[in-house]
Amino acid sequence: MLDEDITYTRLPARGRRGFGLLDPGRYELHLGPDHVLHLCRGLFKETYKRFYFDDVQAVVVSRTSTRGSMNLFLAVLSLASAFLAVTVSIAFSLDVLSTAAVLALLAGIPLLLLAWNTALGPTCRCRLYTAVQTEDLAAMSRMRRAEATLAILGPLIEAAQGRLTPEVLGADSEEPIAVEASTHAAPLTAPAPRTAAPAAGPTPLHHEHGAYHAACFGLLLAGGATILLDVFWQHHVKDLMDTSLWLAEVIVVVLALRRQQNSDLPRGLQNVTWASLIVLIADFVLGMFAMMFVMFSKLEAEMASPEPQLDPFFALDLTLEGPAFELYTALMLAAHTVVAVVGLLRLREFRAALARDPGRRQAPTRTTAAAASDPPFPDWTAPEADNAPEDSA
Amino acid sequence: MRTFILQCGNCGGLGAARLTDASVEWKCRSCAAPARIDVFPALLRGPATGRSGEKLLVPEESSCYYHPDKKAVVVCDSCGRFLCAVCDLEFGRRHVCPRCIESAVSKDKSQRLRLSRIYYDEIALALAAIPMLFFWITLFTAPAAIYVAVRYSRRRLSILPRRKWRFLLAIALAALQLMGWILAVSYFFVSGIE
Repeated sequence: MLDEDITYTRLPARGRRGFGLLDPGRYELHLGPDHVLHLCRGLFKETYKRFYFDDVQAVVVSRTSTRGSMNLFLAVLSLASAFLAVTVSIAFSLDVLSTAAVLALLAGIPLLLLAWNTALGPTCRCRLYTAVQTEDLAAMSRMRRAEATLAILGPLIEAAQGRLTPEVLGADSEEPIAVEASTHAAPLTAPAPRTAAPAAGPTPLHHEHGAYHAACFGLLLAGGATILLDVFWQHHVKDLMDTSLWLAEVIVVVLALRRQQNSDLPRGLQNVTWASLIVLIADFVLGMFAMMFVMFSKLEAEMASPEPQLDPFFALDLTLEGPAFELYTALMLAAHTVVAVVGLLRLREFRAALARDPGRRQAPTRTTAAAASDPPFPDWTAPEADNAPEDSA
Repeated sequence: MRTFILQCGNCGGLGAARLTDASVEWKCRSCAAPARIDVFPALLRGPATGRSGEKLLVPEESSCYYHPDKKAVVVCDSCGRFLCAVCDLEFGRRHVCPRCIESAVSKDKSQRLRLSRIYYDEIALALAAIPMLFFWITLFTAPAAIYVAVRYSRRRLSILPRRKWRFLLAIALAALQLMGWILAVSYFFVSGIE
C-alpha cells in the first residue's frame, strides 16, 4: 500500500553551493505529486528534503553579488596567468606560435569560466519558509532558473492552498501587523532567531588533548625519514610501506583536523596541522611528477639507444635518481621535518601550559566571526517596512 | 497592512517588507539588493492544534485498535484496522496507522519516508579507479570493487531513474587490474625460474 512509486519531474533549478569549491554536492529540485523534492547529490550519497505544497508559507529570492565577485576573481586570475605566460615565453625564448599557445592555455581557461559565469546570469539566494523551518534552496542559485522554477511552483502551491488577496493581507488596513514565517513554534512575544541565521553568542570550545596531533606529527617525521631512506635504499617492499605510511598520515591528519574544530588548541598548532595536510598533498603531487620525470627520462634514453630493449615492467625496476628526484627529496625532507618539529614543539608548549594552569582544561569560549557580525534581532513589534511608500517611511 | 520580517539573502541584514499582494518586490536597506517575496495562505494560518481522540461513551461503538477506550474515526488504508484521531496519520492523501508507517520504514517500502540513498555504483567505481594512482593497493581494492558492484547491483541507487553503467565500468577496470597482477606475478615467477 505504501510502496507507491513516485514519478518526479525535474525543475529548471539546479546549482551548487559556493561554486562547489567547498561543498561537492549538486543540488536539484524535482516536482512530486504533492511536494517539491530538494535533492542533494553528494559524492557517494544523495539526500532529500521534501516540502509539501500545503506547508509552504513563503519563498524569498534575493539577488546576490556573488557573480560579480567571482568575475572579478576570474579576471584577476586571467591577468596573472597572462603575465605568467608572457614571462615563461621570454624566459624560454619561445616563438610567437608557442607563446600564443601558452597564453591561450593559461589565461584562456579563467576567461572561459568568466564568460560561462556571465552567461549563466545573476546569482541569487532562495529561502523557503514553512511553519517550522527556513531552508536555503541551493538549487535556485541563479535568478533566471529561480524565476522559471517559481513560475511552475507558484501556481501549484496556490492550487493547494489558495491565493492570498490584498484584502486578506489587509492592504487597506491602517494598523501594521508583523508576520514572520517559521516562528509559529515559538511564542510571538519572544521571537527566536531563524534556523538559517547563525546562532548569536560565543561558540563553546571543547578540550582537546592533542593525541591525534602528536600521532600526526610523529608520522610526518617517520615520512621524512623514509624519504631520506630512498636515497640509500629503494625496494618494492619499501614502496609498499611508503604508500601505506602516506595513507596512514592522511587519515591521522584528517582526524586531527576534525578534532581541532571548535577546540581549545592554540591557533598556531591548528595552522601547523593544516600545513601537514598541505605537505602530504604536495608530497603526493611532487612524487608523481618526479617519478614521471625519471620514467620518461629512462624511456627517452632507451629509445635513443641503437637497439632499444623495452621491458614491459620497466617501471617496477625503476631506480629513482637524477635532478628531479633529488629536488623532490630535498624539498619534501625539509617540509616534513620542519612541519613535524614545529608541530611537536607547539604541542609540547600547549601541554606545558595546561600542566601549569589546569583551569585551562575548562572549555573556554570563542566568539566566531559569524556570531560577532550577527546583528541583534530588531524590535519587530512595530517594524518599518523597507518597501513602504516614501510618505509612510 | 501586514509586514513580513526577513533576512536579506545578500548581506544577511534583517529587514521588513510591506505585503500589499501575494508577490511583492523588496530592496534591502543595507546593500540595496532586490528580492522577490511570494507569500501563501499558510503564512497566516495559525499553529496546528493537536488531536486527543474522542472517548468511547457507548460500549457498542467501534474503538481504536491501539486505544480501546477511544472512538474509532477512520480505517487504516494499509492494514484495515480501526483508528482513533490520535493514531490516524495522514500519509500523502491516505490515512495509515503508526505500525504501517514503522513497517514501511523498516522494510524500505516507501519513497516518501526515505531521506537518503547511497551511490554504491560510485563507490565501486571509486574503488576501481582512484587506487590506480597508488598502484600497490589495487591488489586489495580491485576485488573490493568487484564485490561492491556485484553485491549492490540490484539495489535501488537513487530516487530518480539511474543507469547501471558505473557498475559495469567498475567491474571492467577492476578485472583489468587483477589481470595485470596475474600477468605481473606470472612474469616474475617465470623469469625467476629461468
